[in-house]
Amino acid sequence: MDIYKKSITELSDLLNKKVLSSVEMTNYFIKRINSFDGELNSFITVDEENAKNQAIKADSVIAKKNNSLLTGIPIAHKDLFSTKGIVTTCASKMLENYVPPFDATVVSKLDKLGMVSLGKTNMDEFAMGSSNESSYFGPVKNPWDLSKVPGGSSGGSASAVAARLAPIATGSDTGGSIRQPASFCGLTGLKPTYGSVSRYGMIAYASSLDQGGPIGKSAEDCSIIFNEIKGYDENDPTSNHKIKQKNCDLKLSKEDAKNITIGIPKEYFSKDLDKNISDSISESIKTFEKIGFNFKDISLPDHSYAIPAYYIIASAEASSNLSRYDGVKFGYRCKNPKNLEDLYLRTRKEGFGREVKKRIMIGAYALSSGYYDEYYMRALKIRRIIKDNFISAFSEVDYIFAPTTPSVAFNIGEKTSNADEMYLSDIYTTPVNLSGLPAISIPVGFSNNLPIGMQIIGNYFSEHNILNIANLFQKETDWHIKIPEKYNHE
Amino acid sequence: MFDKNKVKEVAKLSMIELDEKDITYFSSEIVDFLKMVNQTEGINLSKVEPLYHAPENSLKAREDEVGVDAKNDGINSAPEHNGDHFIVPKVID
Repeated sequence: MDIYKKSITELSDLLNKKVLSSVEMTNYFIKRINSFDGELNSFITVDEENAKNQAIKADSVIAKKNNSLLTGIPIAHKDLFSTKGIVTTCASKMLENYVPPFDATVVSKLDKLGMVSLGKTNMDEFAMGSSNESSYFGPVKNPWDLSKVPGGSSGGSASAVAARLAPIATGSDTGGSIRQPASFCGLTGLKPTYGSVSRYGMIAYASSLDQGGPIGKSAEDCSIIFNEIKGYDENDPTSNHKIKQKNCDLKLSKEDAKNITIGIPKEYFSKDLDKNISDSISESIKTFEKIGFNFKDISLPDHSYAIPAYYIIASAEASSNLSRYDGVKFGYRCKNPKNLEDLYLRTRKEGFGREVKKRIMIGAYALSSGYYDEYYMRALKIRRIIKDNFISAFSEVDYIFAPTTPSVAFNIGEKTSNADEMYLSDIYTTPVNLSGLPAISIPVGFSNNLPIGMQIIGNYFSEHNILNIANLFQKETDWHIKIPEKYNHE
Repeated sequence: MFDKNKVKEVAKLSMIELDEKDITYFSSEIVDFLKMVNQTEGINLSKVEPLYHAPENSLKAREDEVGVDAKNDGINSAPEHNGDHFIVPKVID
């Protein structure tokens, strides 16, 4: 039956037609996890008992025909979404044994619809990374080539969905952490407009940038999840309360496409971009033109300044957010502290990994007296310029296409000793986060058997349309249904 | 200049204990990072307003009312607690 290949709608159809139960579907994916995840390391926690209990409950809802499209469908959650009663580690020793007393809003919304949580996926520690190598629980491998990284920080979610260990997963995107791993693993990943999806219960890294969203096999699957997780949440004061976002219905037609103009920013296609990526995007643009879309060359200057601005702002916010890990209220505590100061100092020395310590210190430095204007204030001003450049571009065009990453997935260990090079892998994704815009990464080709991703960037709260544009492309192409050979069997 | 003394100072601000090996490592890492950041020195930002938060002026505060929350369960997440109290090392002799 090739259940692992099915879309959410197809899986739901199987449940409704009683071809299989949610319990059977859940067991099927748990069996795949048990068979394949030993080498991928995409999950930190698999809670079989909880998953089976949720599936039993879903089956009774389906039997009474009170179900939604998502009832009984398995999902994996990035391990920074708090899950009541289930350990939530953020891939850190600091939270190795932390069991949250509440659910993140994203988790509770999907739970209420009857989704079945298979477990918690691996990630870079506290979401700080672009390769999933900074996890306390070890690196995650890319299912397309086990010697390559899956991207980060939502690398576990991307690896799990790419190997079809879960039909879909949640991720979070602070500087590209949904789109970059989606790109590296041949998946579709949506980073919503800042404020579209509640951050309540999402363990904070950089609060003015963090945003949750889906990583799935297609724009259609991502749209189904996005429709359910978006919306105002009074528990998140930064949650959008002004604009009521309509549900994404995927009804955009080829006729509608004729009225849409897409901008191609020349600065994003410079010599630094891998030629195979550039060529694949050019080919995909031809498909979009055949569908009916119009294209226009535009300029988005200063995007290269986004990297330094992003890393200063994100680190500054992290230094504040991560001050809560003090060995007192929750999380790790060092052994036999001599006094309160010793408790703080050693708890944080022993509980945090190197990348997290580095970013906390960079943040503390950028915010400290004498350096605030030189670093933090300058970064905030660059952020303004980057946002204004996008606003100006959207007065000329409706949407923007850009590469997701400058290269395809790189070797595990290749960039760990060169942090600046690692940070540059976010060069095309961070401007979107600094501006708070929505963007989706979709697969558009391969280079040496490794997937290539392309971003569709929209104006604020245009998720509905960027999902539609991605869906029209995916109706004409088959890049999104390619599966790594090793995992393309029952 | 971000030398080893500066690393010690920032580590203290960050409440992170470092050993000599860490100090050498972070000194080199942060120097490299700041070199990258300093590439932005050429931009004239004198007339640019800082942007703290992309969706400006859109925050909404809820009523300050006690709701159904997890505060009573939260104490159970503490590494050491005694009923409703967190246990910390002795502060006053």
